Amino acid sequence: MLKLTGKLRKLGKWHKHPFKNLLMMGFMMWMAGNTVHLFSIGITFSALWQPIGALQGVGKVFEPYKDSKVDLLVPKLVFIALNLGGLALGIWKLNTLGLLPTHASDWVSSLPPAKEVEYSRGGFPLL
Amino acid sequence: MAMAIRSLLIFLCIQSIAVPTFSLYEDQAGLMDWHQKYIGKVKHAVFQTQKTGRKRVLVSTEENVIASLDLRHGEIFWRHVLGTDDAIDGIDIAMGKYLITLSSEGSILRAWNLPDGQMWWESFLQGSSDSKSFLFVPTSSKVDKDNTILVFGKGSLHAVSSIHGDIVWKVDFPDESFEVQEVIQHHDSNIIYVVGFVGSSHFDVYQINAKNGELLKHDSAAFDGGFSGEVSLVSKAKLVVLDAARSTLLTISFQKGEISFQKTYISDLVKGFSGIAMILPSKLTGLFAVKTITATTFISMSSEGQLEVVDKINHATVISDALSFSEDRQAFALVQHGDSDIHLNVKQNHDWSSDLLKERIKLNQQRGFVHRVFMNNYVRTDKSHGFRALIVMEDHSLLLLQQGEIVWSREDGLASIIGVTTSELPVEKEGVSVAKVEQNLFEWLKEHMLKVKGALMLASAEDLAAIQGMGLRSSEKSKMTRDHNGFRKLLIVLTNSGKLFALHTGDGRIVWSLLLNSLRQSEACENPTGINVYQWQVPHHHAMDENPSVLVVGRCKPSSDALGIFSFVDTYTGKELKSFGLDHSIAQVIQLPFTDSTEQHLHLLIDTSGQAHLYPRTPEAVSIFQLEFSNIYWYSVEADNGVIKGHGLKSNCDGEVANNYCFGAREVWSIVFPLETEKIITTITRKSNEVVHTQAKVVADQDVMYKYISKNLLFVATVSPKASGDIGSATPEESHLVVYVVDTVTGRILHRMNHHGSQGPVHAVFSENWIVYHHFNLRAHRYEMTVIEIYDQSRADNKDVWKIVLGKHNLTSPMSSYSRPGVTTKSQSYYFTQSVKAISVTSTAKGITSKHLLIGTIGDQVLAMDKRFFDPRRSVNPTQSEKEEGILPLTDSLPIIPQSYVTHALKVEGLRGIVTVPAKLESATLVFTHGVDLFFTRLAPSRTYDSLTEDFSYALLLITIVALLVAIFVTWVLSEKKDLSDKWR
Repeated sequence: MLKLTGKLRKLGKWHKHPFKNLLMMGFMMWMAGNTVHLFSIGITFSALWQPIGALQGVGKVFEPYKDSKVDLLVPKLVFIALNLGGLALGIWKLNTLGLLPTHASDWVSSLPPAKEVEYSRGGFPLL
Repeated sequence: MAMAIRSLLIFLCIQSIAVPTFSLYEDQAGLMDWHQKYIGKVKHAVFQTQKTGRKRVLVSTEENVIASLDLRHGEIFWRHVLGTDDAIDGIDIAMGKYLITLSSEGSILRAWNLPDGQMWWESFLQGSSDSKSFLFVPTSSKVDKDNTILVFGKGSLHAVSSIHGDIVWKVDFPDESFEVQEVIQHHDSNIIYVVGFVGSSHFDVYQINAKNGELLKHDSAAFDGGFSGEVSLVSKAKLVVLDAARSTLLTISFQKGEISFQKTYISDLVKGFSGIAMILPSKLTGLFAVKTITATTFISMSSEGQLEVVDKINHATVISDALSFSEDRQAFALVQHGDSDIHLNVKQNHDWSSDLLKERIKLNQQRGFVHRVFMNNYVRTDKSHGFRALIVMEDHSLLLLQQGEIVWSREDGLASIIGVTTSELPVEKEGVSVAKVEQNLFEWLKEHMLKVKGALMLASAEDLAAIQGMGLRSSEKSKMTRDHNGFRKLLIVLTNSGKLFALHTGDGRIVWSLLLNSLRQSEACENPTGINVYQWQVPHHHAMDENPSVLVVGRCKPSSDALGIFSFVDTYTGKELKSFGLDHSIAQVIQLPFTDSTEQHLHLLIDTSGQAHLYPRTPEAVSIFQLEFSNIYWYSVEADNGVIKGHGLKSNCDGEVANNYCFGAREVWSIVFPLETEKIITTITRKSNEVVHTQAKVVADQDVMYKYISKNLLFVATVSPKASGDIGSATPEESHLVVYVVDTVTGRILHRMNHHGSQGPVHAVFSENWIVYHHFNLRAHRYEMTVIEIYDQSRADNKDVWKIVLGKHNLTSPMSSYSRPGVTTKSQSYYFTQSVKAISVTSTAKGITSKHLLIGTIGDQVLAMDKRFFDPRRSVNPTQSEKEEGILPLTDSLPIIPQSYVTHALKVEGLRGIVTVPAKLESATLVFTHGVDLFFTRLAPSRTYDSLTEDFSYALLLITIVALLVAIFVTWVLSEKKDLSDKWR
């Protein structure tokens, strides 16, 4: 029993870890400001990358606690939710930086001019 | 994403504001640009060889240039380009130290200091009527004489002091219609004879006192047969002239107070004479030349007035004026044409049979016939007389002949370019020999070590000079093969003389030149002129192994109804492939946007009767043409009638020239400008080969505007008829400038704006969806530049992201003028301090790079101005987001930044045109400016963002990498050692 509670406590730590991360990220993003430069881009991309990495390794994180007695579903879901929250924060930051194609201008800025049906030339008579 | 790019661009823009984009460092001049000086076709030449020192020849040309050339090398000592309406009538040397020029139809007389070309004095001669003009500088043996110059111009005779240009006296002839032919003053005589015609049949002689201009005597005599044109003064008191029918020679003696005529029929002198004759203008004593259709006949005149034929030459012949080379000995030069050489004979006036000099000079290049010859003598070391001749050829080149050789030659035809196009160079063949690389390896290393030194600021002054020299004569830029960046090309230029030149863009040298036989005088074509040169075949997809070729279009006579001439020239070899005369006239040449299977461009030629002729004349071309038949239109601008007409095509043409390649025209629309209030002065359209990258313009706050991009737009400027003259000829109240933007398919006017109190001349440039034009504001007494931008209103609703992402938009659907798209225009004006000769715009391969306007200023320089200065959305206080977009705060005048002159310290004298050609590298554009001079450079309007600069030191990079590697290795070894010693401890 004692062993189990110890494990659960450890699990609780794992909950806290992403949450702390989230706060940390939020602070860093606030620090980075809203203009595009190396620092803000780096922060934003790490904010995007970290949750994705964590989500990919979600099985591994809970490996040590795998036990028939402990129900891992809820902690797992909380873990995923927190990381998704981190991801959302990253995307939101990306958007505030103007790096998401959410405007018409982002899609048409390299659209070639339309073909013309008619062709007309001329001018003054050549002298 | 767009935001990021935008921010990056803003960063770049801010940088470019801080540092003007085109500025060069002093040592970069000449690296990418070249400049060539020319003078044009020589009209008159005077030699200055009497004094010891540098021998010169002073020339005046048809491009209104006066220049002093080095007689040894043909280089220009000094040169002045007079205005375009200041044609030179005569030049001569006075007092041995001034060059006197008479220009503007005998109304301006100037003296220039011979050694340095500074103007000494200038006199304006007033007169009542327009007339021929003469400059007559008496050669006086007495130096202390008052040195007057006699000038006949504007109907009166002026005596001008050559010391300070004051008019000493002036004679107005009592008879208004008196046309002076010759002014004669004999050595040290005080009497000046002025001879000329009144009407067509009266011969008049005036005797004038040379001291005070008093009219001493006037004789007049009538001759029934009439006179025609040219007069040849054969002796002191005898003239030869042709009668009105040009079949009889008249000898007129006039000195002894009476005038007598003596008739000689040419047919008596020249056997088999028929048609008309011409007296060749020359100043020989006792001899004159008569040109008939078949031959040139030399006729001598004895002191009694007896005429005798001395020689008859069937070749084309040119003679020089007489040159007195010693006490009473006179000689003249006679130039005849052989097959591939020219024969120069120098003869004495009185002795036809012997030659002072007889030379044959090989001409290894096609230069056509000799047009003019000027002769000069020199004294050889053995005290005998030598002669040199300056000859002007049919292709306007200038050659100095001496001792049977061409001492130097100048390609002055390039001073009058009428058409420019470009051609790619051949692709580099595979298998460059290794030996060549090895040989260059050492030099390559040396070169880069020097550059490293330069980069590390270790280079001495000598090294720096070496680095600069390397850049200047880098063999890389003048290679005869295509380069990766597309900087090396051939500029194919057509000159006024009908000669085609290929210039290398790397160093401006002439790769080949060809005097087009089809643009030379022949029986079929009396006086052919070139019109323009067009790209005919540009092989790149299908016909890779064929050479590119250009089409030269000309016409038989310089009138619009003359028959056309076609000539095709291979641009690699410089050989004429074929040429033929057309059976119709040429009013328009329209290059169609289609090519056939051999990459030949389809051309549509419109004749004066409004019929269209398709070239090349192949069934394939017709079938391609038929596919687009109903969508092809053309328009004509008739400035005299104030009408612009749009035409469509009919399937066959009327008249006798009907064939498969001829199409009739039907009028579709017309715009009539009321002649009382508006006169068309300028029209301009977009370049047909211009590439536009995008139709959208992203403005502040990520909003988007759609440009109205159409090649079928025409910008028209009209002024009130009163204001069509020079600036100042009309008051602001009676002058107005109206500009229109017209769709040339439907004739719809998209934009109209009236500038009250403004007038022309209007210079304009049309690119993408904007027009910038330059005009004069009479109220503000300043030049203005105005920009018009045209936006498509019918596409403006495409703002829904999802629709665009899913492709549910009409942005890529073909656009027809008949759908009457709604447009909005924005416009803004700015003051500009300079008057302008030409405006052009940079063009790049894909149209991504921002544009710069290239303004040819009145000072014959080219100024580059960022298009952002011409943005109708500029406001006095732009918002933060507008600033981010790169909009400059509005100022009432445009700044001229001295560093943004692309011609830096050079001048392109007589600037006429600026041609821009895209390079393959997107950031670069090639600029060719022509006038009397040529100038070529390469520009990067947004800087070279897509490549490393040429002076990038690869060696420095290599050395840095090697040094880093060494450092890594050394530190690794050291740390290993330390670890080991730590473990031992």
